[in-house]
Amino acid sequence: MTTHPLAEAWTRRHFLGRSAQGIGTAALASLLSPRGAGARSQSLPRAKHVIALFMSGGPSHVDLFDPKPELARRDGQPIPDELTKGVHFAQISRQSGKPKLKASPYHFQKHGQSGIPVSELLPHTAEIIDEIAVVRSLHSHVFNHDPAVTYLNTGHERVGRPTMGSWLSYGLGSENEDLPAFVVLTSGVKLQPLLDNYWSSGFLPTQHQGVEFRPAGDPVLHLRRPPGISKARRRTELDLIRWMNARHHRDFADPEILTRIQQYELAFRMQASVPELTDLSQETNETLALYGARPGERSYANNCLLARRLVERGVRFVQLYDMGWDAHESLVKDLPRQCRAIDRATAGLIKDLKRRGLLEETLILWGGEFGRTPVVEGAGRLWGRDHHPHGFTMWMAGGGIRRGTVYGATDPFGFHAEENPVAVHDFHATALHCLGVDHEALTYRFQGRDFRLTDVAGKVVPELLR
Amino acid sequence: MTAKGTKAWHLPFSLPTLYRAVMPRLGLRLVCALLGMAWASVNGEDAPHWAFSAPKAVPVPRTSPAANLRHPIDAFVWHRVKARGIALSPQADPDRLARRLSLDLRGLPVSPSERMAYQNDDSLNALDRLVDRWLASPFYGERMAQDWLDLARYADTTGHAADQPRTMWLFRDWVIDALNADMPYDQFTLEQLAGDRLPSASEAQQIATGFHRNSMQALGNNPRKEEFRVRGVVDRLDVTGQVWLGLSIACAECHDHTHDPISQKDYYGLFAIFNQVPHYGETFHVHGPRLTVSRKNAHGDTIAVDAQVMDTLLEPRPTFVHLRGNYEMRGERVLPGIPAVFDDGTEREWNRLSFAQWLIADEHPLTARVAVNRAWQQFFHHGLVRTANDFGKYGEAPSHPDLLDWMTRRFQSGGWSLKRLHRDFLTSTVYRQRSAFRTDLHEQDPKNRWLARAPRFRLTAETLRDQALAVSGLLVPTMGGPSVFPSQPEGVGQFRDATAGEWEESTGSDRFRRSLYTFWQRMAPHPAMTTFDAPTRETCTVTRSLTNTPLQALAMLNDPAMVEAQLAFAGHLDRLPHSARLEQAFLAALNRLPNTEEYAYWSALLLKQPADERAAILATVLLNLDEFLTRE
Repeated sequence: MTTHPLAEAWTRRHFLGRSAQGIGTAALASLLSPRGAGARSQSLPRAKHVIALFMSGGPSHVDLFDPKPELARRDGQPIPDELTKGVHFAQISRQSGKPKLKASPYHFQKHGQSGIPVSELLPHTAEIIDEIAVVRSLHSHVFNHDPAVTYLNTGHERVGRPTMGSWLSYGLGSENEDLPAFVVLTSGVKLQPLLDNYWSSGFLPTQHQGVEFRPAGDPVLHLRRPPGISKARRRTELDLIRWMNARHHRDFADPEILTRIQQYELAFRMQASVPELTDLSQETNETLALYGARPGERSYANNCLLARRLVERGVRFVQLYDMGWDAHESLVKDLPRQCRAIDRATAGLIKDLKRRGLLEETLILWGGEFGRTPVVEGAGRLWGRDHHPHGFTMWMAGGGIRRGTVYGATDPFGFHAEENPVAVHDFHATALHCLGVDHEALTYRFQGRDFRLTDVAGKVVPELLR
Repeated sequence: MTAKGTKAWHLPFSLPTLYRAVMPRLGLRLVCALLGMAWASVNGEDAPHWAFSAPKAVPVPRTSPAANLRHPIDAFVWHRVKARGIALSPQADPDRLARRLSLDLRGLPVSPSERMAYQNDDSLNALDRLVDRWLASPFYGERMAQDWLDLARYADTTGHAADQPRTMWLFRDWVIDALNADMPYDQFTLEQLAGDRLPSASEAQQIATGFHRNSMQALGNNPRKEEFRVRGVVDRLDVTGQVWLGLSIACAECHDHTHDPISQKDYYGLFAIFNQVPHYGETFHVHGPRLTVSRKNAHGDTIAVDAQVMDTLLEPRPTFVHLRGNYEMRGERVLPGIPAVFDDGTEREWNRLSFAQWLIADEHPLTARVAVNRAWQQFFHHGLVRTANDFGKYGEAPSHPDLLDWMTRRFQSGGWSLKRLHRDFLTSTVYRQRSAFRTDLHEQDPKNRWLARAPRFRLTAETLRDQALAVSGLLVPTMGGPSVFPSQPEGVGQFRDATAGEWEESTGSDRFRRSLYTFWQRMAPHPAMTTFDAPTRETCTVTRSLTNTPLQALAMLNDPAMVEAQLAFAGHLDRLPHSARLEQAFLAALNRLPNTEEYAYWSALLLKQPADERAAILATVLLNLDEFLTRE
């Protein structure tokens, strides 16, 4: 039987071209920022890993990181017309009168040497504020959850493009062949479902999709070999599976077969690597307390600790989804609950990474798919805030990011990103830059076009870099 | 769309003639309106979205006899492919084709004796006969029901935090029976949406209305019970929209739809139709209407079972627009009705029955099209409209609009028979192509939209497990009845409410029933299902995602249930003479013989293994091959 030329090309790319470092060194070099050598000689990649803390549902910027005294002054007054021109609210209908401004019920205080104001709801985050670059001028146009999460992850609101974790898995590979390059951990109060496509590899080979660990109990099931089956025998079986699959690929040339081969090999290695990875009993009580982690529980805190252990072992991209931030109905009930669940652990993660020397090589991203409206939704005791993509806050910390800084600003009402607006593509470009990747060079040809995470836009924000 | 514009430019007579001819009858205003519409469509303004016009009568394209096409479907596909200068793929070899047919129609592999039978069938239409045989098999209804149960968000628990068990399996069995009996899809629709409102509704017709009792349900005399009731109505609308209209109308709950012509008022008109189901505290202190029916249990005793059915309040519940989607903030009162875009001006009293009758009217632009497209998705992996739940403006346009319209009209004129529709697909040349990827298509058509090869895709969670059970001889083909509890890893159900009860593992044959009978626990679904992308069924799923993860490899290799199948399969192989073992193993698992290369490689390799492990190695490897996990 002759070898299918296409099959051969694929096989070569998958088995020879991809070293333990992902795509070959030569290809990697071409991704590195071309501006790195000239304009910014010190911009060699600082970060090797990303921990993306995704507050699913949309955390309120005006109650957490973007204090607006003007809201307090004009509490209850209708929002000026010029702000809402052409704006579409998800829930607040314009039929029910003009939306009214709503002051934050929470107190802000300046913290650290940087003096960055942080809400009283995040006392632990306030302690590490000097490590953080707060970006107050994120903006997008997508105001519903699914497309907005998809936009934040893929740079496009329609499903089908690769997510940031997949791009990095594809571009940089994994530093640990025994674990997936892209791991997803979930926690929180389920208000909206988390969809598989939030960690999809889109048109990239499916081996780059995120692998979701189970939120409770054993993070990964079926790690133990069946009784009586030696490791050597399992190896023999896997070799046969591989031989048969590779042979089959020669006839069918379906890249899914190559992914299957790799996933079986990875599964074999995970049988050794995952039990060690997920054994939180190896951590001291002091570390557990730092995060507020309790082994065996379903929690964001445990996920943060697991995230540290994952990047420690070379995993490229860890994404934590914490659900429950969609505070439409009762912000004063929902927001403190969410903050309590994440605050200590988020700060603990940064402190822990720092003392282990990992913060320098780990980029931390925090934020949701949008912020929340400075105008009130509902009335009386039960009030909330609506989806708000026009101006919201995310923060970055760690590898390559300037410490203790605020970048950009919304208008006095916290409505539109006004000063130094940062588009989602800019945010992505900056994040990739921290990993030494030129966002314009990390491309994949699909249907005759080169696609990239930043689509046809994106500018690195130098003020966010160290 | 250019259809309208084309018509406007090709008027058979001059405008003044037309004016004189129709003016007296139609009146000036109407003519002006019609001309305005024509003008607008010529200019591309307000052209009606394709999906809101009834399917067109389209001729089957002429093809060359040399193309050797089997079915009119092929003509449509062949034309598009030929225009791009490429050819269809050749027919797959008979073994692979039989396996494809069997997995598609029955969700089970071909048994060695079945293979023998069709190999001995020398008639020219042997494969067609296989299609007919398997369409008539009771396994067909079980396989097709899997997909329908995703749409119906069928589950055995109520969902939400409490996630209590409830009796829904009578509905599941109704679906299997209806599909096996090839109940016409219009009737199938009518009975599920409004079976209880049919004159002298039979027991089965009432059970069919369990479709909309599958909504999640919070329990008890909950202080938020009205909120949860409203959520149930919202879910029914959402599901009805996706399943029958192919529209995601959910956004209009809170605001006018931003892209499709469904206003908030339209939405609440539909809401009013589904708002008439009695709730907790109204007429009874249970969660929704019940119908007590008698069934025989496994021991042959007659038992009473409470089926969840639909009913209608005697005193209609008034419906108001919920401002911002908040049920406590009442806007204007809305009467039951259909969205204005569909309104043909006929005066009707709108209720679930008239709504269902409106859906299945021949001139309805969406119902049949959406069903045909979803059926296409079942056998070709993607619909002709890839967004099978969204035919609206945000959905994808059909890849072969004429084919979709032609099939839709054929489906309707052929009595809405799903089996006939499936037979059309499966006897086509397009379906029978090889699924191997082709270099010449890789650049031009990476998503295989033109269908110049058959799709190749991983089997569903249910089929994967059923197949392993079938190959290993463990499968117990008993149909219907209460859901069963096959083994699952310890601790998986730990997040269930304590009152929901433990996962009490079934004993004996119930452990080996087909997967669609596994107890579907919404908040903690069986991991063998979710690992392979089965949904939680909290709400409806029209297209499952398809992942390829290391977790799946771990499950296939190490899940004790899979290991049990591997060992049982090995046990059968062990009892065979050495010379027959390899062939029989390949036949059972892959439905084909090993080729020379495989034969040589395996024979040599197995000889090197300890004699008592050879069969187990063979079994384990075959049940983990990509070829085994894939429908190709």
